[in-house]
Amino acid sequence: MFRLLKRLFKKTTGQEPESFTTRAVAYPFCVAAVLFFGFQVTVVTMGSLELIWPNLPAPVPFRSGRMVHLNLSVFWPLMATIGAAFYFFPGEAKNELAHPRMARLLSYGLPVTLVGILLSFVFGLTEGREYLEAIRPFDWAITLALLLFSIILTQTYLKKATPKLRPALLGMLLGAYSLLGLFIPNLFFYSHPAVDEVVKFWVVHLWEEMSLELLGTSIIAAYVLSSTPRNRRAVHTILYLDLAFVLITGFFATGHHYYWIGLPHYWLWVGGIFSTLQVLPSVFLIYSQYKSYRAEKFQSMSRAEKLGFAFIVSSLFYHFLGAGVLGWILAMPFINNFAHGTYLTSSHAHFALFGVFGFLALGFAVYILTNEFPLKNKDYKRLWWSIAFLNVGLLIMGLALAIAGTLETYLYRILGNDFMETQRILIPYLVIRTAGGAVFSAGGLILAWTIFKLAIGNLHGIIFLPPERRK
Amino acid sequence: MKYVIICLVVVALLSPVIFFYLLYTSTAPMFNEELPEEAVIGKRLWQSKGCVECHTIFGNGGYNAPDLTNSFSIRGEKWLKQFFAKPPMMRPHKQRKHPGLTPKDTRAMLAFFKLLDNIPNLGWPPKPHYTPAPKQQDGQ
Repeated sequence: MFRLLKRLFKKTTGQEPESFTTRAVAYPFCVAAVLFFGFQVTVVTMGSLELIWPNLPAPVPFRSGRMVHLNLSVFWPLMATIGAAFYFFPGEAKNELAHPRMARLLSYGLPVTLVGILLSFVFGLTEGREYLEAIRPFDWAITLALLLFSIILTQTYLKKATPKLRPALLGMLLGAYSLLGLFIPNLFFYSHPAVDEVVKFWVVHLWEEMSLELLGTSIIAAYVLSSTPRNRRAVHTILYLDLAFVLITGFFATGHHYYWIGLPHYWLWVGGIFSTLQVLPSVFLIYSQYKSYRAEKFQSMSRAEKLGFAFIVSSLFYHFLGAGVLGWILAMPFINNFAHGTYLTSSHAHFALFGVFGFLALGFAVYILTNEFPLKNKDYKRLWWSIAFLNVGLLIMGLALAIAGTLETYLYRILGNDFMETQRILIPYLVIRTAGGAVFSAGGLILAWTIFKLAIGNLHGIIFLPPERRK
Repeated sequence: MKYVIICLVVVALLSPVIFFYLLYTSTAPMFNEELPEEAVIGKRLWQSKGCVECHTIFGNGGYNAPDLTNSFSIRGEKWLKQFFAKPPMMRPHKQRKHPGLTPKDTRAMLAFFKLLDNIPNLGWPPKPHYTPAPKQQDGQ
C-alpha cells in the first residue's frame, strides 16, 4: 500500500489541476485568520507577564485577557479551516461552489463577529463557561455561520456532476455538520454543573479532536489528490480508514474529560482505553506521510508548497509529541487523578491546540495565499524564519509549562503544600515560558506582517470575487 | 480489505449513537434531580462573574487560583461568608482585592458551592499524601 502511495505522491509535471473561480471566497478567511493570530500572540505574551509580576498595571483585567486568548485560539483556526474547505471542495467535487455570494458574505461576517466577541470581553460581558464565553447573541451568529457553511457544502455536493462517494467530500461534510450539531446544545443554560460540563466538552473536545480533524484530514487529502490525480483508490482506502478511526476515537476519548465531573465510574475505562487508541491514527498518519513524502524530491515543489509542507510537518510533530504522547500520559486515569487541573494540562493544551490545529490552519492559510499571490524572494525567507521561531518558541513554552506542571502536581497534589506557596515556586518556569512566548510572538508577528503586506498589495483580488466564468 | 473498511465505517457511524446513549444513561439521574433554587441562581452568578477564568471546578478552568470543587467543606460556611463580605487582598497582589458579593449573592453562591461539594465525583481532588494542618489564613 505504501509503495502505491509513494508512486502516488511523485510530481506529475505539465498537468495543471483544474481551477475554479469560486474558491476565491477562501482568501478573506485566510487573511483574517493570520491577522487574528498575530493579534493573539501580542496580547497573550503581555498577559503572561501578569502571571510573573502580579502588580504590573494592565489595561484589561486578567479575566478578560484570558477570555480573549481562549476564544481567539478556537476561532481563528476554525476560520482558516472553513476557508480551506471552501478552497479545496470545488476541485474535489468537480463543481463550482454553490452560493458563492453567501460564502463571501460569511467570509466578512465571521471576522466581524469575532471582533464583536472580543470587544464584549473587554467590557466584561461573559457567559462564564470556559472556551465558550461569548454571550448568547454572538453564539447565535456563530450558529448561523456554521449553518451557512454546511448549506453551501451540501448544495455543492448535491450538484449533478459531483462524484458522491469521494471520502474527502464526505469527510468535509461530516466535519461541517458535526461542528454545527455539537455547538447547538451549547446555546442553552444547564442548571446542573455536571451536565453543563458534559455538554461543554462537545465543543471544547469534540470540535478539536473530531470535527476539525475530519475537515483537516480531508482537506490534506483533497490537496494531494488535486496535485497528483493518479491512483485515487489507494488514497481513498487510507482516507476511509483514517476518517473512521477519527470518528470512533474522537467520540469515546471525550471520556477523559468526564473522569471527575460526577459521571459513573466506567467512564474511567472508556476514556482511558480510547485515549490510548487515539495515539494510533496519529502514528498511522505520520507514517503514511513520511513514506509518501520521502519519495518526492523536496526541491521540485513550488515555493508555496514547500511552505505549506513545513507547516504540516510541524503539525505532525506536535500531533505526535503534544497530542499523542503527552495527551496519552495525561489521560491515564491514575495520572490524571493527580495531574488534572495543573500547568501540565496547560502544556498539553498549548502543544495540542496550537501545535496541531494552529500549525495546520496557518499552513492552509499561507499555502492558499502564497499559491494565488506570489511573494517576493525576501518575503519567502521571512516566512521560513517565522516557522522556525514559532517552532522553537512553542517548544520552549510547552516544555517550561510541562516542568512547572510536574512540580505543581508533586508539591500541591501529592505533598499537599499551600496553593499560593506552590505558585511562588513555579515563577522561574513561568518566566521561561514567557521568554519562549516572546520568541513565538516574534514568529507570529513576522508571519502576520508578511501576510498583511500581501493582503494590502492584492486588496482587490482578495476582497472582490473574480467575475464568473461563462460556460 | 473492502469488507474491513465497510465494517469500520459502520462501526464509526454507530459510535456517536453509542456515545450519546451512554451519556444519556449517565446523566438521566441528574436531570431528574431537584436542585435547590438558590444554587441555580448561584450558578448563574458564578457564570456572569467569570470566576472560571482564574478558579477551577472539577479541575476545569483557570490555573492561577485554587480549585473550588470542595471549598464548601474545606473552608466551611462561616469562613466563606466572611471572605465575600470582606474580601482580602489577592496574594501575591499588593493592591488588588478579590471581588466581594452582597449578602444575598453570597447566599446563592454558597448554595452553589454546597451543590458542587455534594456531587459524587469519584473523590477528586485526591487527598494529599502528607497533609499538613490546613492553613486557615486569609487571602485564598
